[in-house]
Amino acid sequence: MSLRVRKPGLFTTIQDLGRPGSGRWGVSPGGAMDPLALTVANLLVGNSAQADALEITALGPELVFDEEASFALAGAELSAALDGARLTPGHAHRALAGQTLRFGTRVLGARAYLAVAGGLGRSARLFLGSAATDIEAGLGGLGGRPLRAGDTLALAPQPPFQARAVHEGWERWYQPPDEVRFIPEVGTQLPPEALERFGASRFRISSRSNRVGYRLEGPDLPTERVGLQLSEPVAPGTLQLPPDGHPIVLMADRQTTGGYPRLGHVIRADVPKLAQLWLGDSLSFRAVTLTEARQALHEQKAWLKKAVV
Amino acid sequence: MADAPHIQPMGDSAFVIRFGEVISLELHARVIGALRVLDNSREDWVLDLVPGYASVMVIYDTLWATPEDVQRWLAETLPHARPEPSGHRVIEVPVWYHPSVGPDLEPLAREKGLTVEELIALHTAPEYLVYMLGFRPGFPFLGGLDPRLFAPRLATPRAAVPAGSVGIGGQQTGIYPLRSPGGWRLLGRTTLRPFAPEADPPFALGVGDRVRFVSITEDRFRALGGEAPP
Repeated sequence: MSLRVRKPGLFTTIQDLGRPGSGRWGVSPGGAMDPLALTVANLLVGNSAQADALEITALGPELVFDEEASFALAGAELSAALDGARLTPGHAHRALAGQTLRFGTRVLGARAYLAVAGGLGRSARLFLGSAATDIEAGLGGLGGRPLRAGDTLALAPQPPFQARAVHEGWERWYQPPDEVRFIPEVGTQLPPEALERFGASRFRISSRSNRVGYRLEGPDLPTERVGLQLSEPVAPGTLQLPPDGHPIVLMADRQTTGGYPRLGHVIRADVPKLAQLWLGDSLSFRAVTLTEARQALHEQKAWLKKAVV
Repeated sequence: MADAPHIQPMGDSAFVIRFGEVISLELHARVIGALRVLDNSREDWVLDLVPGYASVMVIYDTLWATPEDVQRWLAETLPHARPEPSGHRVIEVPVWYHPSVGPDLEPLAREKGLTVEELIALHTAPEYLVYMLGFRPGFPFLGGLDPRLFAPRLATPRAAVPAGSVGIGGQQTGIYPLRSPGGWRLLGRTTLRPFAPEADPPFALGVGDRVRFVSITEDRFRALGGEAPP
């Protein structure tokens, strides 16, 4: 039982919900950039939320099913087709032995998740209980690297196919696509104009962005030459402002500590939206309160509980 | 009695506990003491506890705890923390100091008006303290560097620093556990692997450990399994 990689695509990695909890050893939490889409893909094939799946970035791979298998896609719309037949997003699908899954034009979003019943990580090397690929540290996945042509992913014995589907509007968690909410840093060492201009400006995702962080191109933000700040642990979604005045938002494979002054933190509920923005996309940031951030996350989780039927 | 730490939220899923803004043994002892009591009374919704030079970050599961829950837990727990002197464990780190594996050794010595031998003597003299790990798994930020060796990072970081490289970055010294980009000034290379994912435990050094660098010859370096250009 296996899935053969005929073409790897731009950047395809095995991901799960990562390995949080080892920050004191310098280990990044890693895992899916869009944990919501990973979870939906897993639920569609009857997996647990944290099962391992493929994170497919912008240009998809070409994959051959050696045996019949149940699979699902969630997240970005990358024009997936099974032996030429376009696949409806938000549904579980059945592949027959010998069928080929191909991807085409990127229509919407940046990262699609391919889940197969029973998971995909049997070929992966676990580290701290997670199969998540971290290419910076060379951990997890297949040798800590993206997929290559010729790789084979072992599949679990397949349960009978079940026609599950996402029953209502997952899109709303990604709307509006160009506005991301953040909580401003309390007592930041940055001049007040930096935060004001940050909230009032539009930014573009720089081509020098990856799973570690997005660099944001926009107006130069004033940074005070406060000297080197003491390196401190960084939190999920931290917005750093390095001396060049261009913010960096830390993503899944972020380092565990950082010494740059901070503008604030992207709220957890908007991390999936951020993960679906692609190089060159533009966005702005809207300041919200901790209460609003918590409410948004709770709504998302409540939806997720009933999302797949 | 030390001042109560400053506690503030960092976004919607973390709090930071700050004891001060400098690198010092006193603040480090408070960080370790706080980490101890927090570990010992850890709630189920705590996802991670990460120490910094003078701070501890608490990452929590926002679906199972409110910010008030976290603040209450910290208010109940932190008063029991006692500064904890570290350094019960001293780890010797063998280093081959040589230009072929430490490209900044000679330039840095010249910059500081030292001979290479004097520089090595200054780097191997102190007992360093692992204040924190970060940047890459197992990368130790070591404090205790002789001020005569303080050196700014390279203006343009190297694209690839080999694993085991020993270097100086500002007031700190450290060891690159993995091949990675890096801007620290490189003095030599060690055979110690701060991070070996297949080992149990995977990390050779932890926060609060002491480290002593020992200068070794090329023969010894190669005998210990060190890899270097021929």
